[in-house]
Amino acid sequence: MTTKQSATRSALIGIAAALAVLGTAFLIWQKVGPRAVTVAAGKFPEELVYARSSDDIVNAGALFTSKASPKPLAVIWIHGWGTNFYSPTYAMIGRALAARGYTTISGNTRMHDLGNGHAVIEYASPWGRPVARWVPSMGEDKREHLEALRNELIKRFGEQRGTRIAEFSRNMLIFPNLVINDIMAITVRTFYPDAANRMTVSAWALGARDEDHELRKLRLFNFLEFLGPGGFATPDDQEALENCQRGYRNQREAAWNDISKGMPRVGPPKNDDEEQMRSFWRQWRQRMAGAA
Amino acid sequence: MNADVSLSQGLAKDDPTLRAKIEDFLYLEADLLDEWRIEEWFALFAEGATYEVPPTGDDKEADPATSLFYIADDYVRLRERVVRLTKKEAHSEFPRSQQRHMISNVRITAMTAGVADVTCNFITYRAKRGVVDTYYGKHLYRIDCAASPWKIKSKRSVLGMDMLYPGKLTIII
Repeated sequence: MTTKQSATRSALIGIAAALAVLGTAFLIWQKVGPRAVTVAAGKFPEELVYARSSDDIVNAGALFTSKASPKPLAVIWIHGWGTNFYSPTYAMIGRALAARGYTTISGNTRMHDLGNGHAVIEYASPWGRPVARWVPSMGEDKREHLEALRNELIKRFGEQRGTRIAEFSRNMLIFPNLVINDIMAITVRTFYPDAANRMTVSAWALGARDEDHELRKLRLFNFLEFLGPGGFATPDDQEALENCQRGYRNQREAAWNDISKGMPRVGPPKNDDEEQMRSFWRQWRQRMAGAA
Repeated sequence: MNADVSLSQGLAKDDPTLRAKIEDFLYLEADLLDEWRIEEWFALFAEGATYEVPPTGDDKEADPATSLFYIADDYVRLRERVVRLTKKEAHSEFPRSQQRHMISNVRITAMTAGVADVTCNFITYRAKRGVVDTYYGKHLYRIDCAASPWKIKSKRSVLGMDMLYPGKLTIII
């Protein structure tokens, strides 16, 4: 089912400002230039693994188990920004170490660029998720049903992936103007700048086909608590954006936008750093330069 | 209309004074909203009451169980909405907007056991930082006139616009 909510904004924005509203944060790293690499298949068991940090960021990695004369030493490889554990170079390093007898686990530093300006964050969240995460505020009568849905997911996708689908929330940006927030409900948004001071945002709510009546009711109720033009959060994000836009009217005197928050940080950016906006504009610049 | 079944506290659907009393009640509600006396506004609602704004383009029979509303508050969430609006963390309404709620075309469509179904047209203006937002449409009320004081059992504000032009709905319209 899709339901459309249209919202045209009275006074808005540039795309950079719009990014500020896309959930709490997206971390986008500058795209790493493509290189030609030949990838050989691994000779030993490999599996995807997940870890949750103390501040509830879920991160992925790969485990390369050595079967050939294993050594009493394992390698934990957490690399820096700008790449992914699944990029060919890192996968091959893991395989090479496993071949030499070192069981290796390779992981990302928190959130990661999906390439080409796309980005996602994934995290454990306190709210209920109508897909399969029951919380007490949903009511005791829904518990059994949601737990059954969760068991079904685990049966279909395995413990790890099933749990991820049920438990974790994701905010995803597809560059430049598609947002999929899989949070207390799934909402898909597009945003189109119509003029320098006007932007049209459309949002859709997604639900499962053949959804149970009671669950649909619950999902829609859940959606409205936070999201939408009358929700408890979205309008405040809009207010922030409108105020940014007011500030940008000053651009003849100050022709820049300070999005430097978190720039000097050593180590992974935090959720509320402005790395996502810097990265958006890097991608934008790269594309505009390419088009010129 | 058979007055016998709809009599309550001397009020019947066709009672010529009833509409005036209901208008007074609605004007009081509008004034409480205009003046940001929002906790007193909430006190007009009966326990278990609902407050809803269906999506534009949906018919009057829209059901929040199957359709995505702009607002579909049960009593608990309506109270939370009021609490939120009193806090400065509700950035969209802090500093507060200025509002005027206009009501007209008040009609009593049914009266059962002292509970009146009332419809009226509305225009609500909201002004903030030089921008005036206009919301208009029709309110559908269910008012318990047997209670003392009267209580709103449900309020549904059906927007007459074809689209939510202001892009947000941060006030009670």
